[in-house]
Amino acid sequence: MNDPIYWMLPAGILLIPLVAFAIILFFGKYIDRFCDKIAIIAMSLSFVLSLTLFIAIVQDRGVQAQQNPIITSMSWMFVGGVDLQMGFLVDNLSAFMSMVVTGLATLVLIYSMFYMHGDTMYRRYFGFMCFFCFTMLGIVFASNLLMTFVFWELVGLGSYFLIGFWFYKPPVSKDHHYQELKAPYATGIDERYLSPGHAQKKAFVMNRIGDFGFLCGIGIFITVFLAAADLPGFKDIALREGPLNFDKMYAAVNRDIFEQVTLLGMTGPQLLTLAGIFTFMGAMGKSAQFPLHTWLPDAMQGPTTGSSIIHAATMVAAGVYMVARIHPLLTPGSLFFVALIGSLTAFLAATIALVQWDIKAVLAYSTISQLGYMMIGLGAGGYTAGVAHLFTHAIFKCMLFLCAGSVIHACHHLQDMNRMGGLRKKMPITFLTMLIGTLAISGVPLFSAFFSKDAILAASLARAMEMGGLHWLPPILGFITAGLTTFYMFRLVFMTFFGQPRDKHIYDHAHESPAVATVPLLILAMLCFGFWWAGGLNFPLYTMYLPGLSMTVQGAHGAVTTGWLEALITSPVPAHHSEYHEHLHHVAHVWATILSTVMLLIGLAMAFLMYIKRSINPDKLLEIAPLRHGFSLLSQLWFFDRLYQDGIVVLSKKLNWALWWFDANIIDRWLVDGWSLLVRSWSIGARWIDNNIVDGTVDAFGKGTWVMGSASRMLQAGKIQFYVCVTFGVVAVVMLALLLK
Amino acid sequence: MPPAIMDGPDALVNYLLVAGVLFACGIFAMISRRNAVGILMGVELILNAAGINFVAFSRFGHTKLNGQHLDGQIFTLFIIVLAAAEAVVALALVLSVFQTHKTIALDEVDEMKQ
Repeated sequence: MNDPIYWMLPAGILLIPLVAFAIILFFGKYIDRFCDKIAIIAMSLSFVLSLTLFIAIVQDRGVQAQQNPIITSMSWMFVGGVDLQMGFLVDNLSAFMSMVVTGLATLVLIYSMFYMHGDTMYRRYFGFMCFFCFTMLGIVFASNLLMTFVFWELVGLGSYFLIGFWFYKPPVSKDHHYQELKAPYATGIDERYLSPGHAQKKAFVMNRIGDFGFLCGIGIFITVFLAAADLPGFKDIALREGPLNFDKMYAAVNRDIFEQVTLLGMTGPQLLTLAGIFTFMGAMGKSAQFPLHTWLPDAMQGPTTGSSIIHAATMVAAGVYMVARIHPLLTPGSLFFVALIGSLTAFLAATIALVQWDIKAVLAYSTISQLGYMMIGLGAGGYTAGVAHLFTHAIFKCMLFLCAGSVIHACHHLQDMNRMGGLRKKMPITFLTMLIGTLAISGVPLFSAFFSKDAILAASLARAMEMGGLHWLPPILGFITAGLTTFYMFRLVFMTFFGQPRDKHIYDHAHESPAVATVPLLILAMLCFGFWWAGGLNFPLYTMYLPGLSMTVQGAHGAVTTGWLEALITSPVPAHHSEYHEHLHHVAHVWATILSTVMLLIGLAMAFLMYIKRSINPDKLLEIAPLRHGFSLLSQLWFFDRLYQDGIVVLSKKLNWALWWFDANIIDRWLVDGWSLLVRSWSIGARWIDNNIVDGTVDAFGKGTWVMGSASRMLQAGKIQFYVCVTFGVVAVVMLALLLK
Repeated sequence: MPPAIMDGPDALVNYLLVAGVLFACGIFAMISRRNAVGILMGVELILNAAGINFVAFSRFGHTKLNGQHLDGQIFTLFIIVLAAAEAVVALALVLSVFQTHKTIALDEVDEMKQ
């Protein structure tokens, strides 16, 4: 029996934001002034509970918690002899993730008091944010894949609310304010359609495509594990009670006899590969992986703070978190698929980010690119690397978006970087935090992403060195992307904060944001430093609350350099590394560090030369034909949006038209109308039969009765003598008959 | 030894003839009279014809009461009593009809035919 805090704390963490949402939803009108405070208090309460939960699980189980997650679940429904369950899963990953989600959400909510100030739907915003965090926490604590899916859909709903928060806005082609503020050469965005209302639908539909795969994956998983449930080797796992519970799935997959599971001529591992790829499709939608990534940049139509939470801890993190959850179930084949998709995503998005003019769009594409990194990490078997990058990225991307929000707010909703410049003197704190975030995302040594990104690249490099062939693609694209990341992030910082002000009017009116905005930024900036993440530094809090951990770390991995993250959040089913593999990993790590630093320096130098020194004029570069074509390709977003809009959407509209025509002209005209004609003529015949035959019979009875009545009426003459005569006559006749017989 | 049926002055047929004539008279009276009282008298005649028949046949029966054939005669006594009661009721009806219709001619009392 587990300690009851392991279900009470998750329940509290989960339900407090939901209660706050309900209060704001139903009573917001009456407590207008307190809505934001309610949301912030609820979220910080959740954060405190998450912190308690994390400390509790680490003290209780330590590094063992990943291998033996604490699951408290109850029956949800019995279907076909299968008990589908709902419950809470607590391990180091979920406890830490809930801490990240609630912590970031608290800071974002505090910041929103500044950013959303004066909005007509101020109350509703805070309600939606609470709901959104509730749904994400549901995924974090879900004890089985089905429950993950339920909350997965709710996250989609939450993002729908937030992306379309300003649903009344017209498409940007009709938005004069937007047209005034946009860059003259802004291309690639289909302005006819881009609006919050369109963006939210786009996000929802793109996610549905992924979720279709997710559902198929769940179906395959449940079929495989139910097929395994009947085999003698799996009896002790009791797969029929909660076949999708993570602990049972891990246990079942880890058995050697899993290969004996066969279904439809496929063996267990083959089915797992299939299920893994399908399930990963869900993550491709949610985490905006190629080719379902196009919704994420459009989602910038929502409030910047909403984008901040979507890009950091909730929506897109859900996909990565889910892949981490099912990581032990993924076979080498599906892992390679994950890494391949991740690397393509990282590379494509980073190239698009190079040429974006909108400060939020750069960050949006950088998010997609970084999510690609996480997928590379997970796909290359670097469980901790991918998850750690999820955490570090969550923090610095949350901060970068809040900084961008601060800049946009200061520049009166201007988002075009070409008209900013020199803002570092006006907004020193925003500049400082944004610089720290940029250093972090670029992977500058001693900043957070240096460790996580290096670990990812090292893992994928080690994988490539081991497997060879196509496995080289993820690390190669990964290293190129590292350089691109540095370039576009420093381009953003240089264009916004350095140089001469390009727009005097805007520069003069720019101002630093108040403390309610800058304090969250500074807190987040603190977390971007590497010593939190590397774990090599003996931070006081760390030893105070996690005693004995370093010993465990040494016991498990033998090296002091292993960070606490690596020790605590490892794959639930650790791989058995050979000595050769360890050696390979070591070599790869050295090379990864060197190569990524080189790429970093190249990117930084390019950005410096182009946007500070101006020794390479970006406009001159465009006069070279191949570069110009490349530029237009990138600013058209590799034509993905164009392909989807003009290809798939238009084609499906044509298909819709054809189907409509078929429906109207064939189905309606011939089947429906023809049927009605048939029925009508049938009923004319039936009416004739009814009127003439059925009613005629009834009338004939009446008429016959009447005729007989009037005939017998004549006998009733009223003459006594007549009656007597008749009576006597009848008697006489009878008598005579009797006599004469 | 019961009396003869056809021969002698005491023969059954003589009684039956008288009763038949009486019955015929009764029928004739019922048919020919318009007057309700006349018809009633016809009915009395028929009843009396039936009474004579009963008495006559009782002499030829097998059932004996105190050595005599009495059941037909008891029947006749009942018929006479019944006829008296019937006459009372019928005359009361006739009276009632006369009060409402100012006539006792039965062919004029035929509203129910309508």
